[in-house]
Amino acid sequence: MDETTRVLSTRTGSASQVRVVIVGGVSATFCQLTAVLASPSRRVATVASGQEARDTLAGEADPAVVVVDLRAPGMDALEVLQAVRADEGSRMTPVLLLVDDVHGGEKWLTELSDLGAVDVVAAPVDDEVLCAKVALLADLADKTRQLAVLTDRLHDADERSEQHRKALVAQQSVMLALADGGSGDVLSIVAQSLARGLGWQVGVCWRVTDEQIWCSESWLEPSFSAPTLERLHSESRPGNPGNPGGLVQRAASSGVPEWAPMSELDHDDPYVRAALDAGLSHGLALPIAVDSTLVGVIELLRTSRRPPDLQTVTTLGAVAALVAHFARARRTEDETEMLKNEFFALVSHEMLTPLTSILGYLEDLLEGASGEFNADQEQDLGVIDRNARRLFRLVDDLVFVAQAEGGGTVSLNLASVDLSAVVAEAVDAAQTAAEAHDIGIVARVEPVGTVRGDVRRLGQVVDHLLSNAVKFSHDGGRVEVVLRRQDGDAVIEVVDEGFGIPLAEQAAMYERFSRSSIASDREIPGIGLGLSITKMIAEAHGGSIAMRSVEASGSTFTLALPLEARAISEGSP
Amino acid sequence: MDSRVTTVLVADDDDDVLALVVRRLERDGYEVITARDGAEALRLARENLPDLAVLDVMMPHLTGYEVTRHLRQETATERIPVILLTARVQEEDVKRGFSVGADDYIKKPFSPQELRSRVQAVLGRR
Repeated sequence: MDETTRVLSTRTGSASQVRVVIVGGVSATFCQLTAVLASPSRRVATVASGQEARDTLAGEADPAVVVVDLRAPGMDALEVLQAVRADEGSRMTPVLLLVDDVHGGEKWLTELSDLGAVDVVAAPVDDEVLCAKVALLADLADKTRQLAVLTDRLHDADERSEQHRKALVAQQSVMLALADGGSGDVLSIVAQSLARGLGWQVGVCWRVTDEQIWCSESWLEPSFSAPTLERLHSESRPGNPGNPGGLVQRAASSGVPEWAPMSELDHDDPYVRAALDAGLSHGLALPIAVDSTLVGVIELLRTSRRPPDLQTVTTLGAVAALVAHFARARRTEDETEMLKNEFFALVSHEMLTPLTSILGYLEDLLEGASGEFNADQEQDLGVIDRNARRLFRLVDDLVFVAQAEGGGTVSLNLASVDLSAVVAEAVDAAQTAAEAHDIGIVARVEPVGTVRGDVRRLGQVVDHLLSNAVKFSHDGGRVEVVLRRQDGDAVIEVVDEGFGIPLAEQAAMYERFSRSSIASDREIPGIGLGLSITKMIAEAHGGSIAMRSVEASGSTFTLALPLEARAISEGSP
Repeated sequence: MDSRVTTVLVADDDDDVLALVVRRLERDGYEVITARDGAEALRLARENLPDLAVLDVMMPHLTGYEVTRHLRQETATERIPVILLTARVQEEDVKRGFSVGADDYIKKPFSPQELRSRVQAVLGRR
């Protein structure tokens, strides 16, 4: 804004002394003309020919009016006008033609208007008319210049707001990419989203490890080619960092965004050379620091000659801060994830090994390998065995959840599974606990065909649903298991008439370690993993689990698994 | 199978698990050699050329995977069948076991029947 005012006032100020250039050769009228036009408010320069006009104009800052006296012998109007137009300063200067007669003048005007001849004065020259016209044209010239300046400024502002808009869009796309891209390298995502969002041709992600800067990923606009630059990127890796060019180094050491025209960087630097060769003229480097440790630099390069404006750079600085925030969160997550994985590896190995001995030796004892036991001893051993198996299942569940969360997948040993056998085994397994509380288990099994699944995992699911139903039933209650077919699914329903789950708690029941208030109040054993595992296993089989429960009157869990036959008939139209 | 006694090398760093496996195999009539870490297992395998090696995966010095890989690389031992004992059975653990040349794996905890049938199956395959 300040600059605009200054430029305008400079031009307005100099208009108080109008600069007039008279091109008139050596003629009788020449001196008269000079005398007429010269005044305290006008500075008049006189030149003899087109050639001389060129030299004078080159030295003259923005002449207001050029008067060409075509009456002078040997005057080449075309040459003069071309000279006037060729000079940057007088490109928009109005030209007044002095001619012998009005008709000839109009002819000239028609022919020369393309070159900027705007008016004509015919001999005999009326001094007042001439002065008035020169004043008018000088005024016109000033206005034209002011307009040009304003147009330029407007264009600049447009361009800047466009750049800024793009920066904001880029910022948004970065945020979306970060929110979206749970996996992958945060900085790479950002480098690409920024370059793409801003419409720059190259986005490079430089990582900093052990004080080495190396390229972890680079993105090029699909239609843009920079083979040497790409080679430099691909050759750079930890241990062989390569040279990211002066700008990235500069940002790495200053810790603030740096930008510069490539031409201002060291031309002997192979990286800068490659960028210049590819037609890239501007670079911007955004350092990313997490807890004041530099973790990377995002480099953006573009072909446009216009430098990025301050607002864009500020916005990008904000992006860098945002990215650092995400990178910090990601690092904490990674560390937590690593700790968790180590913990589960430890649990699985260190707990399963002693369990192997406990269960193994117990089994030997119960098989009678060391002789017979009396009934009491056998019962005690049975208790130890049952609890050791419970402990084992618990460890197994924890490992299962850790694996499913760590790898995101549940690994299944797929085969054709007869669900009626799975149900029968589960009923069998739940019988002991049910009998202890005088709970009757009723199984209604229809022939449904087979599902494609992991028999051990599906057994785990039905076991879990049944043992839950028993645990949450009143003594003397009733549990029903139904296996039936419904719309090409095999459906297992486990129905109890027990305590139910309060409505407000139902939605959270599939979350890990979530237990209903009823389970805690009644001190029903469990750690709240069963339903989340059940859901994971059901979904890994392409199936689903649903719950219907009314507090104090019971729950129904419905497991639906796609039948094998349906999968085949759908596969072949 | 000839009349010669079948020799099984068992390696586990947990003494109790080791004794359990040994007891069960001896009960089934196998002659058992024991090792308490991977390096010892490899040495005993080279010296005795057993008919089968049952190796724990998580052992000091050399893991069960590494012992298996070494056995497969040497002419004298390359044909010794290997069963891995493992507490963690993630898919990648199993894949890794097979990729280094193991013949089968048994997940801890295991029943006597499971050990017996896997050992018989692997020996019968040769």
